[in-house]
Order: sequence, then C-alpha cells, then structure tokens
Amino acid sequence: MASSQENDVKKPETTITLKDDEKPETTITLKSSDGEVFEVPESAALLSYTIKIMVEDCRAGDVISLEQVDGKTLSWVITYLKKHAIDPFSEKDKDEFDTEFFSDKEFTSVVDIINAANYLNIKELLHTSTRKIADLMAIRWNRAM
Amino acid sequence: MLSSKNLLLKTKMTRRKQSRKPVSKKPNSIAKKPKFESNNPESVLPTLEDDGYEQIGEEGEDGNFSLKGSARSHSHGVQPLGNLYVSASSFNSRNTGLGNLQTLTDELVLDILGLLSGTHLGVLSTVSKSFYVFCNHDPLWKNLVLDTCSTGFLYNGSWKNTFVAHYTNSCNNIVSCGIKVRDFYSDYLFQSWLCANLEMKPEWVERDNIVRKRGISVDEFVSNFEEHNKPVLLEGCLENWPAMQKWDREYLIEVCGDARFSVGPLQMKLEDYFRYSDQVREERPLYLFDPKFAEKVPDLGTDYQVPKYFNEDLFSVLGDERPDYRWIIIGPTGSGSSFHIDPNSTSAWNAVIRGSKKWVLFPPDMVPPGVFPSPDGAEVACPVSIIEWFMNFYNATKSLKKRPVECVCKAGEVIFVPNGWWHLVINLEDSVAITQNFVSRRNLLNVLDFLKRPNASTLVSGTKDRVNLHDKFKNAITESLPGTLDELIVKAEEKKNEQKKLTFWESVTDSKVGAFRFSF
Repeated sequence: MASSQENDVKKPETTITLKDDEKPETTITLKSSDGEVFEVPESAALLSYTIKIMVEDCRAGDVISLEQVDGKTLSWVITYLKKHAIDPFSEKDKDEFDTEFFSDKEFTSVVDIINAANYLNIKELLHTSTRKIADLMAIRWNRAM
Repeated sequence: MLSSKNLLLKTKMTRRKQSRKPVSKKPNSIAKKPKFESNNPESVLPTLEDDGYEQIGEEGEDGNFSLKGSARSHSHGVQPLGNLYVSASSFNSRNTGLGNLQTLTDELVLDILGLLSGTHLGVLSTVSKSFYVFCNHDPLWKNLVLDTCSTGFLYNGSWKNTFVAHYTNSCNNIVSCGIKVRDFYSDYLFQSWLCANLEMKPEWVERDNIVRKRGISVDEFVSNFEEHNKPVLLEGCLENWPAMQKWDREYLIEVCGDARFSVGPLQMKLEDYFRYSDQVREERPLYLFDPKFAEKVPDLGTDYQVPKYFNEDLFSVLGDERPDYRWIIIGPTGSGSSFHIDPNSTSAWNAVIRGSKKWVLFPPDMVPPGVFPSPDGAEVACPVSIIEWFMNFYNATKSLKKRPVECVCKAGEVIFVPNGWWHLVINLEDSVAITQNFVSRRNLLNVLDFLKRPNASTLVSGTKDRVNLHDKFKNAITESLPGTLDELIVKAEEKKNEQKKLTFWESVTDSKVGAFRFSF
C-alpha cells in the first residue's frame, strides 16, 4: 500500500524559521472580578507591574485572576495596554491615542480606570487618568463660574 | 505611604468629647506630659486635656506617645479608621462627601487634588465637609507654594495661608479657624497629622552604642576606623572653630544678608527660612541644605575648618569641576533625612555646631527594616516621614542579630559616616551643622568603581557631568598623584590573595572537611 511504502522512505526534515514579527506572541489569560476572560498579548500584559509579578509566581498557561477589576474596566485597560505596547510608539501618537481613549468615558468610568491602574500598577495610565479627572473637575467649575 | 499598625482604637484612652473646648496654642515646652489612663473599653481617641496636652498610647507596646507641647487635636477632627469600626454608627462622612471619588484611596484622592490649581482647590473645599478636609491638607498647599514661589516665600502659619498671602499679595495675617467635622475617618490624613505632631519617644533616642573617641591621632583614626569602614563619633574636634562661638541666629542673619540658600527646590534668604522653621509643624519640615554656602558667604567658610582626620580629599584634584562636597544644614526639630546611602560611594563627616541630631546607621550589607531599594539602587522606597519609620520599624531593630549603630550627636561633636553605610538622621532640636563628603586613598578604588557603573548617569550625583566624571577623576588623580592608583590596585590585589590563601588553609586544617584521619 502507498502509505507503507511512504513510511519506508525517510523524508528529509525541513525546518522553517519564522521572522520575529511572524512568530505568534505568547498570550496571557486574564480574568476579571465578574468572570470575563481575556487573552492578552504578553508584551501588553506585562506593562502592568502587578500582572508581571503574578505571572512570575505562576505556571505558564495559568489564568491570572484580577479580583479588583471588573470586565468593563479591564477591557478598556487592555485596549490601552495593547496600544502602548506597540514599539515604537511616538509621544505624539501616544498623546493622540490617550486623548481619544478618554474622550468617550464618563467621570465614573475614569474613576474606575484610576482604581484599576492603581491596582494593576500601570504608571502611565495612572498618571494620564488622574490628570484627566482633574481636568474634568476643572472644566465643571469653569462652567459653573 | 506605608500603613501603620498603630492606627487602631486605643483602649487606654477616654472617650473623645463631642463638644470640644478650644485649645490655645502654647509655646513648645519640654515639660513631661502626664500619663493617661482609663479603663473605658469604648475608648477611642485621646481627649484634649484642659492644659492642652494629648497623649496617644498603644496597647501592648512599651509606653505612650506624646504629642508636641503645642499640638492641638487634628484641626478638622479627623479620626483614624480603626475608630470607625467601634463607633456606634458605621457612617463615614469621608465617603458620602467625596461623591464619585469615594472609591479611590486617600492617596489617590490627594494625587488628583495635587493636580489642581490653588483657586480650584479653594473652590472645591466648599463643596462638602469631606472635600473641605481633603482640600485643607496642608502638604497640597506646600506643593503649590514650592511650585510657584521660586524666589522664596514668607511663611504665614500654614502653607495654605502662605500661598493665599503670596497669591493675593496680602501681608495680612490670615487666621484659619479650622472647622471641625464629625464622623470623618481616614488613616492617611490622621497619620499625617500624627507624624507632624509626635515627639520622639525617649526609647528611640536613648540608645547610644557608637564608639566615641577624643584626641586620637589621624593614624589611629585611619587604622581603627576608616580602613575598617566603621563609624565613630569624635569629640573635641570643633573647639577651635570660630563657628562654635559665633554662630547664633543674629550673627548668621547679619552675615548672610540677602544671600539665598537652597531650601528644597527653592532659593531663599536665611531670615525668611528662620521665619518658616520657627512656625512650622509638619511631617517633613524643609531644611536648608546648601552646597555653595562658603562661596555665597565667604565668612561662613572661614568660620570652620576640616577636622584633621579628614584632610585627605582626593576629589579636590578636579578643582572647580569637582562634585558638590560640602553643605551647611539648618533645620528645625523633626527635620532630617530618612534612610539613604551617600552618593558616589563617598564617606562623610557631619559636625553639629548648634542643636543635636539622632543617628541610626546600618552597615552596607544590611538593608534597614522598612526600606526597599530598587534592584539598581537608584530608588529607595521608605516611610514618608522619619517619625513614621520610628513608629513602625524601630522596634524591629531590637530583634536583629546585629543591631544598628545609634547615637545622639550634640553640639561640638563630629560623626564619621563610612562609605556605603545606610543612615537616618533627625534633628532633636533646631540645629545647625556642616557636613562634607570625601574620598581618601582608603576609598578611592570603591569610588572609581562606582563612577564606572553602566547606570552612572542616574546614580552619580552632585555634578552636571555624570557620565564623564569617572574618566575625568581618574585622569586627574593619575596626573596629580602619579603612582597612587597603581599602588592601591596592587595592595588590593594582595589583600584579595591573602584572603584566598586563608580560605585554602582553613579548609585544609578543618577536620570536618579533611578526609584523612588517624585512627588507632
């Protein structure tokens, strides 16, 4: 039979080398406080110092449970991290993205993002979100006055 | 800010009175405070005694804390969170008053408020009791003053008053009466007030185990202390310093005139600084710390001389390009420096001319409790204030195998801080001191190694030319003191080999390791 004949002949092995940007990136599984699960590229996830430590403490493939962040907020944070993980990412592009990122968020949502950024220890996001809340507060009074 | 385990209900206190008698400000006194006892199980915070003294104690610990003589209760009535858990109602006006911000921690709320302008902060303080308390947190106004008043400031009782007076160009004394709010519980804000008003406990101050020497020779100092990198307190070295006789407040103000000195990020006149230091009551008082005092006021430079033990000062080969190396330090009670290692791997001496300082020192290989340096050593996380370190971590030093070196350095005494040693200093009273960092032959190789490190651009300090300092210094040494470097390198190699040899012989004679045994 054809198959057994094929088995008798040893085929030369071929190796395919992928270029760096073609390799599938490792993903990390994050779970929010309300049970939503997200697959996040490693480069993005590790921008959070908290996640970085948790990953070091567990095995590959484990689900990282984030008790203090709900699904809605976590999905925003992940969008932010994915964008900020792009290398290179110019300051101008960052500012543009950050402005747009917050433009459609309500006051309470920004507060949730601040809490999440604090818990997840993402310095840049914490800095930008606190700045955004302060600006929103200033705008309110300027209008009132 | 690290949380304190001390902020719980104090069962030895009496119930805090709801209607408080106003307490007049009393001048600082050093009188002993009466101890405070009650067996009321529902005790919460200390009450204000008629004589204005308050005490805060801790169950199970070794005594009570005392507040500074003229401390009032928290000016807005803030209580620690622990009290909420034993209060009759579980209502915390902090939360309802913060509205949408209530889910944030105190630190985050203050971070946000720290981004607001003075006007907005003032307006926000009228929104609710909670915002009133937060927005009147004086450190917020301190940052506003430090950010906006680059030419100095005229302190006006509080940072808020100082800012408002500066902003409105008004010289009137604005007296803040401070509205008291009820049911406001916050550990962070309470702790901040507590640390600003606590006195150093006697047991934090009394331990003094440093070696003290008087009248030793330079050789004795070098061979017994410098070469072994051990701290020592030297007595009697400042007796011929004109500064010891001359440096009282009037003289200093007169001789410094309009010269401006570094105080935090600002430059200000000495007289204005004293105005601040006389009035201030805060967690981390600013101290005057200027590396160019002798250039700004040459008389100050001639009023002191480097003690003979420290005359070898190799950075001097760089002339004007040397990093900052000497500072005058003037600060009120409670000011000082939390744990750090001196820059560039140099050693230091610190001479107290007026006042007194408490020192706690740990050797280079022992990170002090409560201190967390980053892996590269560029950053150090530690308690916000020095008092906080004493409150939370001093006791932990008692159970260490090797206890730290501690002392009180009084006027007329000099402490030698060997290179690489962690140290913390706090002024026990208004103090004036001079300190210098230096490199001698005993330390030269260490310093060159330090300057050569790949992250020199972040770690090296006191100079604008961080990256090139190593090469500049090495070349200057080779030129001015030819052969010195080579000699030291040879000596260091010899020492290393000696140590290796010892280890070898030790292993041969160690009967546990050796396989051969006689047996009969």
